[in-house]
Amino acid sequence: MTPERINELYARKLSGEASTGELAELEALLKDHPDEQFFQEMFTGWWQSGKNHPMQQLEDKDRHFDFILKNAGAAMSGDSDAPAPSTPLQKRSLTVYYYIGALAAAVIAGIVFFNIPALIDAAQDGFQRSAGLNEVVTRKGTKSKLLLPDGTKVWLNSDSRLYYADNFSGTQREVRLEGEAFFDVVKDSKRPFIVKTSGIKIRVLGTAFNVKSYPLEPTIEATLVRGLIEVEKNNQPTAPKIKLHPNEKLVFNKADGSGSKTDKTVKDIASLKTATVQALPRISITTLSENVTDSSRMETSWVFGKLLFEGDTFRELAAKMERWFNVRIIFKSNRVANYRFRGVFENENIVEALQALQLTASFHFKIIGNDVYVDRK
Amino acid sequence: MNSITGNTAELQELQKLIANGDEGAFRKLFDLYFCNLSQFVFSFVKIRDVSTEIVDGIFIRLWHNRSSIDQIDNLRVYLYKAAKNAALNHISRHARKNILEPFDDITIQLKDESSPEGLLITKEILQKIRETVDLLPPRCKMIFKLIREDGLKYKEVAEILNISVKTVDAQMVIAVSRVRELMSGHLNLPSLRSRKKMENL
Repeated sequence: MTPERINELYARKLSGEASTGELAELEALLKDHPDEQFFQEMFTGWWQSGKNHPMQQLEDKDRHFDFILKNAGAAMSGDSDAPAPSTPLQKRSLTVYYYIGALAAAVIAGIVFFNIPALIDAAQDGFQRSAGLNEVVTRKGTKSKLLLPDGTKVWLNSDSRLYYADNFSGTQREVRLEGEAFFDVVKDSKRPFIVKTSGIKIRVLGTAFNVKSYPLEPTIEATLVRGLIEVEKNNQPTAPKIKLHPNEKLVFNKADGSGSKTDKTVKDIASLKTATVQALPRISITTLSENVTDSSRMETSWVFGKLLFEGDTFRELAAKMERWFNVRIIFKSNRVANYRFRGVFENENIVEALQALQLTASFHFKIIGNDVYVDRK
Repeated sequence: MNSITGNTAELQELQKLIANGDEGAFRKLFDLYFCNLSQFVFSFVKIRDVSTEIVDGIFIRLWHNRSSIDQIDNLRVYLYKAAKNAALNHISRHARKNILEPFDDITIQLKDESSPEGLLITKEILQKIRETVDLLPPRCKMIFKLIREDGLKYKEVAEILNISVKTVDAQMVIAVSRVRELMSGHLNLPSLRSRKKMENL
């Protein structure tokens, strides 16, 4: 049974109404009630989750705001009762809250958070040595969302690492990424936000974009959702920087000499970019279709808890699934590995996902521990 | 404390600017409150379009009379009060009767959660907590929502809803106790193992 006093104090603490004395009293009481402490940790987490302001659907609000300005200026003959607006605004329901629901899907499983003294090779990337380095790691099969000291939101996909220095809030906001992350950067024109990867460096002022840079994959990708970002190659700071506009995706080939791989989602290649692209032959830019929502676009769907694939070979898809579900997928048949799939996983577990794939293709699988063996039927 | 709906100093600053006709400041105020006020009005009128229309009206009047906006003592309380009055007026006009006790018939929708920042909560637990909060009695739930989601203080809620601070405090304790009670069956309260596991994470 919960002592009533604990709930009373806790309710005030949550509401920001507890006095210092009450907070101390609560803390003392909780020492003898670990189960209450456990409940409060959970509940506080939930409580705070309602406080974050999500991305808002601005167009609708814009229309309301314009409507208000227009009507406030017009005939308002000192009537104190509700004004009768000239023409009622065509309304759409508030879609704001749906967004949050979608994001809730991207809930966290296991996060490891270290604070490593600057021993690591980070210095070679230009991180200042004097400062401590924070590392956020997601394991395979887990994702995480974090808030950087400047308020920038980062969704970290499975099997990824993000590093940032203790003095992050100083003159420059700099992070290093291995893996995939979606950034929603807080605008600050005085302090550019920089994402470093093994091959390219991305410089932004305030924007939302996705970066994919897994060590074992041949390419690095950056996709811009809104704003403007600048990309430069790591070893060529003097080369012309490439500017990326919304709905454009940049693919950087890590291997030397290999031509730029064209993406399957390519609608057309922005001709304007050709000149810059030639200057940096390992880079290609593609324009993505605009009338797709962020949650159903391949590059950003994972933020919304979806694993999307569009014509991937089974082998390519398996690499994604390995990270997503934390399994190892072993092909015993090359033919099966070359099957192509398109579709989306949302809440499926590994078995359900594989069974869904079996609906369209004939193969056989066996799961032993964390290993999935895929063979022809 | 900094609440989502702006802190007091920030509000007073906005009030001053708006009084001088600063449209940007008015937009800021609008951004801070439009959604929360619409939700609040929705609890009473239950029709989405009507709710936003009512809130439109409040902002129209506010901008129209902006020169006297800095005379308002607590703008946040003023907005919620105006919203409540407009909502109740709307209902009684349409129902052709006076609404005496609005709390008997309100529908309160909780906001969906964004993902908790690095907290050790699973989707299932979030869902469970939400369900239990959803089961709170209407008045209790509304107070709870105004404090959690709109970031209002006890005193402000009391003023807006015409109740005493003591009542607000008591209702919040009821809310927490209820959730605690309903959750005990669902939370894996705390077997030694699960706590160990969490510390290892």
